[in-house]
Amino acid sequence: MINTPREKVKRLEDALKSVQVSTACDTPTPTGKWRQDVMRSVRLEQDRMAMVKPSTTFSGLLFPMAQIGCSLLLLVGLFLATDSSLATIDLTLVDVNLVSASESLVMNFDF
Amino acid sequence: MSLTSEEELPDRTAGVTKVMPDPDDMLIADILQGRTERFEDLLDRYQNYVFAIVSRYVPNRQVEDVAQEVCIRCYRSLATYKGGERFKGWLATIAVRTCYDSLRAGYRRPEVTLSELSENQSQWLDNLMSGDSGEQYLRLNQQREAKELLDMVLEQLSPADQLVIRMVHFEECSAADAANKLGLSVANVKVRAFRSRKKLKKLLESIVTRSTEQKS
Repeated sequence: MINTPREKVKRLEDALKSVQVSTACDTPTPTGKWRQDVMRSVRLEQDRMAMVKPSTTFSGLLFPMAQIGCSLLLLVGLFLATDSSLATIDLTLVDVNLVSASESLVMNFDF
Repeated sequence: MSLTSEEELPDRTAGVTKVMPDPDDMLIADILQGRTERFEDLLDRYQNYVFAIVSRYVPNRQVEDVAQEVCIRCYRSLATYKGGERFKGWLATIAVRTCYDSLRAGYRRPEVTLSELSENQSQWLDNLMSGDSGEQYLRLNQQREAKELLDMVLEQLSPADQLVIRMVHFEECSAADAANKLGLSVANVKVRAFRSRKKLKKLLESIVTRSTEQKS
């Protein structure tokens, strides 16, 4: 029988220490479901890692972006080639600007 | 001049050391080449080891989740594993650090009072104090209560202190080993070990005092 508080604390500490170092019988063990979950997570991780690979970033993303860019350029070229009114509008705008500029010169300066 | 039999038939393998490839290294090489299914073989070899480590440092209710996280982190870091080093040690470091992160994520400072101890835990404590033989508290049917009590007491300490006291004080690891596994400096581990042991003593004293008061 132990009586002093010091002894009791020592015994409790020793007991907890022995629990820590022992392999208790009721500790969880890996189950089939746990393994399946791990493998599922690993496959997801593999997919995620494949998506962010640098090689994938450059070769996989650059090519579609280049395709989109080329398509846009083609569209703009076609639009400019087919829409003749665009040139007319531009010229009209230039004429209007020139007239208004010369008018303002005449109004502000007495030649 | 006649030759001896040894000279006539020299050992052709002399000086040639056959290096058998490490099975872990072969497995890892396969996995890194994209054969993810080979990770199951790695699990076969090390799942019990991972569970053994994790169950030492986190409460039983968290063991499965933390062990799963260990496996995922292991898979994620396989590319950084240098073949030839001990895979077991490398995996143990990942496991301990994952336990540390898990403890930090769920850390709060609960107040342990004896009223919160379950009836079984109080019974275990009484048996421990009244038992003549030190072996009595090691009976298997009492280990669960003891483990729960241990977890409950250590949850009073910060996550780093918990792991340091478990590794250095209970498992008698060297400070350098614990520091390496936890990613702390040796000096830090030593200071923590000293301080946390004092805190642990105070906690145990309070439990013993209350237990005595309750009985009288």
